[in-house]
Amino acid sequence: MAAVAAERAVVAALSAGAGTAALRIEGLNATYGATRVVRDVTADIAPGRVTAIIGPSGCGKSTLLRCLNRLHETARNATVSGSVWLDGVDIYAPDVSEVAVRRQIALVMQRPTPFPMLSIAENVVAGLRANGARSGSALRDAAETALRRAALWNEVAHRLGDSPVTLSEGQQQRLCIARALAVSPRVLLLDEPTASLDPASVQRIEELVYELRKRTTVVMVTHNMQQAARVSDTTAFVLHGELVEMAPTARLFTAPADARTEAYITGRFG
Amino acid sequence: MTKERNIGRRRATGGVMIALAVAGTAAAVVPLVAIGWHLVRKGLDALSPSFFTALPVPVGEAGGGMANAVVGTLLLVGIAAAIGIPIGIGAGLYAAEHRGHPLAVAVRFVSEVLSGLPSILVGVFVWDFVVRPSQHFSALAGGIALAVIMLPLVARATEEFVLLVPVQLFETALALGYSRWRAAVSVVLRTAMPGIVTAVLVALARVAGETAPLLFTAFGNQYWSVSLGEPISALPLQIYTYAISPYDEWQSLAWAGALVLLGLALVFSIAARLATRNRYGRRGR
Repeated sequence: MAAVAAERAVVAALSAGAGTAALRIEGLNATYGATRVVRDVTADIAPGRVTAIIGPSGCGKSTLLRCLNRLHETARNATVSGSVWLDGVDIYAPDVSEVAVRRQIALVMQRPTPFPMLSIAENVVAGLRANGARSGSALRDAAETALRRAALWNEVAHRLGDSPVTLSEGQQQRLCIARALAVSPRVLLLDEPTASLDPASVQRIEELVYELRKRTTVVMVTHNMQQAARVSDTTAFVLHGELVEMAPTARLFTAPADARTEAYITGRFG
Repeated sequence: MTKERNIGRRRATGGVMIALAVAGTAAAVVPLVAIGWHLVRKGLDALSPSFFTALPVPVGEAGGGMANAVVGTLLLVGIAAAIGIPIGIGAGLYAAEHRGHPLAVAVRFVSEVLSGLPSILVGVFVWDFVVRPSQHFSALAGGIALAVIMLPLVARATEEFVLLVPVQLFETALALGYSRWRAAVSVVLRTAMPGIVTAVLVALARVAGETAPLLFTAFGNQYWSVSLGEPISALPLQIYTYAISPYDEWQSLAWAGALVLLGLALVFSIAARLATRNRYGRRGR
């Protein structure tokens, strides 16, 4: 009981400092070679909420997500135009550095990507180290806080020095979420974070996402409509790179405004 | 009936195949063991502490060693490593990170051509560009020649091992706010490092045994020298000189030198094995 109370105290202390932020996407286009993958998307993402992006495979939902922290442009032959405003600052403005943007808007990949040459603890603070943090005790504290927030602390507390490869895939994915949370991002982007996991791990991560939104704006890509319905406040439906409809989750799934949305959620394609 | 005949035929085929596999393995292992055994038998006689401490002595005198050649080889390999490793890793990393870029394609192509170049030509090249202008055979020229031989081996291996690192690791690092440079070095290169270290050690073992590129660069030296600007002795050169001589003492010293050279290669191989173990005690790829 004492341990749980202590954990709550740590989490509460941390959440006071970390602010959530709103995103406004405006006229966003993205290409990959000659293909236009994202077409003229405009949307508002509310702070402190979970926004799910759903759509059939290859519809551009992952690319859209990768445009939100300027990761898309790092690929060869990839271009982006339009604006993404993070609390009033256009992250695509010429004087904004993409590295600074990514420190505010973290992204977790579809498959777990722990750094194999670092220990579990070193993985969690890798982002902090890259951003200049040096103090050993501060890093240890940050690692513990992030692991607690990612609901992984109790499973790895006794083996922080081990290789992350010894963890299960579900644990590895929570480790990656912890690593993203450690840099105190204002927005957390999740790209199908449960696609490669077993049902028990999926449930743990969904519970985690539901908890996280109190402190971080979450945008999650998923191909699983039940998942979107379970964890998100708002759902966006993307088809062929276009944002077809975006609405409160309950409304989108019960009374979609667009015929294409209805066709998709009732399973007529995709 | 037919079923049993089939089983018999399969067993016969299986037996023949196993025999062929054993024969193939033996054909590969026997020469290696034979060389090792022969070297140990012939070399151990002449191998004494003085081999590592004494200088070569004139024909007819007893004793003598190859201290200068042992040190010379270490020095030459050291120079080659100091030049070849950073440039090779840099070139390999560039070729991997900028895959498809014309300059990266050129780096890759040149590496391939260079690694197929006869080593004597490398010696000629260095003679023309280093020895002739400086009017001097030198340890430095020998080291440069060995570095030229190492370079493509290190560059190719670096490129290949870097390409094995999933691009998602690089992107993850970027997404955490790493700069491109830092992500490339402290995530991608570091993940590829066990493989690169192995390749570097294998390359070092290879150049430690090279003779041809040293013939008209390091040249060889009967006396003690650790000066970069002077000709220097090396084990392969000394073995060559002694082995073709008509004197028994020299020939047996050449065997000892060959044994030491083999030992050196073995040390590098073992070091390479150890390097591919990561710190968690498992074998790398």
